[in-house]
Amino acid sequence: MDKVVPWIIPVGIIVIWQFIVTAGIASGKLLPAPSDILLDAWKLFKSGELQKNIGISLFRALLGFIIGGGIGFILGVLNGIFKVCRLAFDNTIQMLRNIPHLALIPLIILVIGIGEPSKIFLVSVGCMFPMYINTYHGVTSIDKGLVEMGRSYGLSNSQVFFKIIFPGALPTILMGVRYALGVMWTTLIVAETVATSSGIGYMANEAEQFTDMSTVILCILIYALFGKLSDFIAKLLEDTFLVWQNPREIS
Amino acid sequence: MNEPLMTIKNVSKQYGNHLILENINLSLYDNDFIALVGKSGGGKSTLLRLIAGFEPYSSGEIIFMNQRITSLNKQMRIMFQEDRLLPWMTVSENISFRSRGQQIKEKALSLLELVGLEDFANYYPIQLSGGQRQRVSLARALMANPKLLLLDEPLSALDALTRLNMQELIMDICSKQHLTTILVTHDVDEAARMANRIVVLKHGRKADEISAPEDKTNTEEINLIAAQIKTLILSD
Repeated sequence: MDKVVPWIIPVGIIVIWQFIVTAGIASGKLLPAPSDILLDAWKLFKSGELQKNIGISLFRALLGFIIGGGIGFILGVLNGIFKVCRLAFDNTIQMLRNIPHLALIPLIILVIGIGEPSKIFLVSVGCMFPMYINTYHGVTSIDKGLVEMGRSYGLSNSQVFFKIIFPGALPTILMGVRYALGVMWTTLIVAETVATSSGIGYMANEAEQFTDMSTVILCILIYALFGKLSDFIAKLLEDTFLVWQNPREIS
Repeated sequence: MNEPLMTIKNVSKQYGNHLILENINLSLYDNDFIALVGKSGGGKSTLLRLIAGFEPYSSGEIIFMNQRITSLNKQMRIMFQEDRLLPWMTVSENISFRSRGQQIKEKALSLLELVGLEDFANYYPIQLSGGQRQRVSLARALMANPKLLLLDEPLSALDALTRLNMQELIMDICSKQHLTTILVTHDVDEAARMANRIVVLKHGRKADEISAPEDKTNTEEINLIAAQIKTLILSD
């Protein structure tokens, strides 16, 4: 039952949507029926266009997430642990964080161009700050008593990090991952719509030029599915690594 | 008398201009169970932290096993007021969290048996009661076979019955394993019941040292000693 209920509304919307278009209540040109969108997807799949563009978008999103998330994580850990790093970097990071990263698009196009690096750079910048903030917050919020206990029980600095600080900060870090995954898609959608020659955003942009509503809606649905997939991955990570927060199954 | 295990000589501790401990002298012998009692702010927890090597003393010296205490010492283990268990580790992992291996695992299980939690090895701390968590904390402290066990009000957050059970357990383990122990407590009854020597700290100074009854079943004598300490603490 728990698995069925969340799908009632999405499936209901699709059924009603199909009915509205088939019954002629809404124009099929402005709002293609779900069946037409599926047909369009099949055509694009057969031509290889769909997989190619999904692959390119996924590559940009993941690479940007890994680079930006990785930098955010490392900076968060360093600034959280070492006062000297905090003094050197935190102020600058906080200033940069307040610039909306999508506002950088014109500048990035001028400096880097519309090639792959510009889109990966934008996604990286978008993912970096949520990862940084959450990692930093997680590391600095660690119960000092636990660190004191670890040191008094003879743990080395690296053991204190891997056995106490990192696992203790993990719930907040995973919250950062979840948020960064959301930002990753938003940034990619905008970057691919503004300046690109491939990817899902490009596909949607091209379709718009020819008033091909099926493809436009298909692209939106692909983004929605990817967003849901990101959420699923984030939840899976939390269920795997944070089992101690809700260990009913264990006992 | 034997050579003392620990000697505290004229130890003082100052934070800025504020003197927390002044000229404390104390000798600790093998199998001693010493209780440090006094009002809050009297300096008992600070003295324990100096002994544990968490903080440097301002003057004097603490000699433990013929070595001057300047930092954390492997031969001592401390049990804190809060259990300080790692929530992401199971009970057995919490006890053996410093190292891995079959032998370590077996030792952790035998310690769990000692504290009566052998059935809880795979539980997480969140699934345990306050008393059970402090038992795990005790087992963790015993894991490294310490020479000196430091107890920083570990029972203060427990309910009366659990507290009595824990007192019995600690006394039993300390006596069987010939552990030298220092207990910081604000509960004079607990001090009289558990320790063989009671050191009263007042305003950062050692006000008195009282021998507690050896026969721990003699409640009348224990109550008398407790009353004597109370009077001493409350007098100006």
